[in-house]
Amino acid sequence: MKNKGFTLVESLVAISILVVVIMSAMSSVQSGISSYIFSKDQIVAFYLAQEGFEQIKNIRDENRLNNRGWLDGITSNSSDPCYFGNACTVSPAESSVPTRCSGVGACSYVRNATTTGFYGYNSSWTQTVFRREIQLTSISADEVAVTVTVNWSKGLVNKQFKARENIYNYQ
Amino acid sequence: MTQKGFTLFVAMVVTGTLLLVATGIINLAIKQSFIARAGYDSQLAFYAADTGMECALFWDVKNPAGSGQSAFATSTGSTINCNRDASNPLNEWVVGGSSVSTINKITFLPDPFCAIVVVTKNDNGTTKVESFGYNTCDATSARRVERAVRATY
Repeated sequence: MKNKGFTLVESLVAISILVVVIMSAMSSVQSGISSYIFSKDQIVAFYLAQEGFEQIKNIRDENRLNNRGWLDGITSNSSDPCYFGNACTVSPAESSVPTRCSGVGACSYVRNATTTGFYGYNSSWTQTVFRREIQLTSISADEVAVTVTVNWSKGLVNKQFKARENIYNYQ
Repeated sequence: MTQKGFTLFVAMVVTGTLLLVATGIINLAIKQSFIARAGYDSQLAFYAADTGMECALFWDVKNPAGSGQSAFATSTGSTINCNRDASNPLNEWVVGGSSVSTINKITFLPDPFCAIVVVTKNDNGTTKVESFGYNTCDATSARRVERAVRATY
């Protein structure tokens, strides 16, 4: 009789230990998976940001080759898409000119063409979690700071990659 | 009597194994997040270095105040500035007047990045620009990452 009672208590203890351990093992696997997903998303964000810088620099260089004002089509007058104080975005796979977003922080989600791998804004492409915006700030007549922000969310957590670079007027 | 405590024993063995596996996975996750962070810092350092390069090229090629002469000319010194705004009033340097000029350092406050640029004017007329970008100006930071860009022409 004494032994029977002990087996029940023992089993309960064993089960509770197992439950706790299995739960913690599961959650460590979970955190491993989420850090992997974060690393992967962050690398996509790096390249989206780089594309932003490259496209702006490319337009500046084109302007020089074509003897236009160095910021033409970017921010030389208030109707230009990236004019100071506005947010804009680029989509080199679809268009060589930037597009102005409806407001700062209001750029659309980047979309991905699953067949070619290009990122852009074509409505038939698959929506991703990323939102990219480019903002320009004037430092002087010959110097402009370009800030590219890529925001994405993973579950309930919002992540951000923000980089800045200054471009100069070589003309 | 021999069976007494067997359930608990099995539970402990399973616990030990699972904890071992879990520790391994947690370790991987921690390392992965360090790598992710280093990648992030490296990007910021690279863009700082690229800005430093753009800055040096601008003052070498264009130099608006120099009537066609480079700001890094070995004959005369010039005062140049890059990213000088209300937050970074000290971004002004005297360069030129010798074969090696150093821009130390371009700050991007309120962001912690910085860049140091070394411009060398060689006797044969060629120029070498080396720009070192850092994710943080704080040289004692354990998280400091350097990325460098070099141009010769």
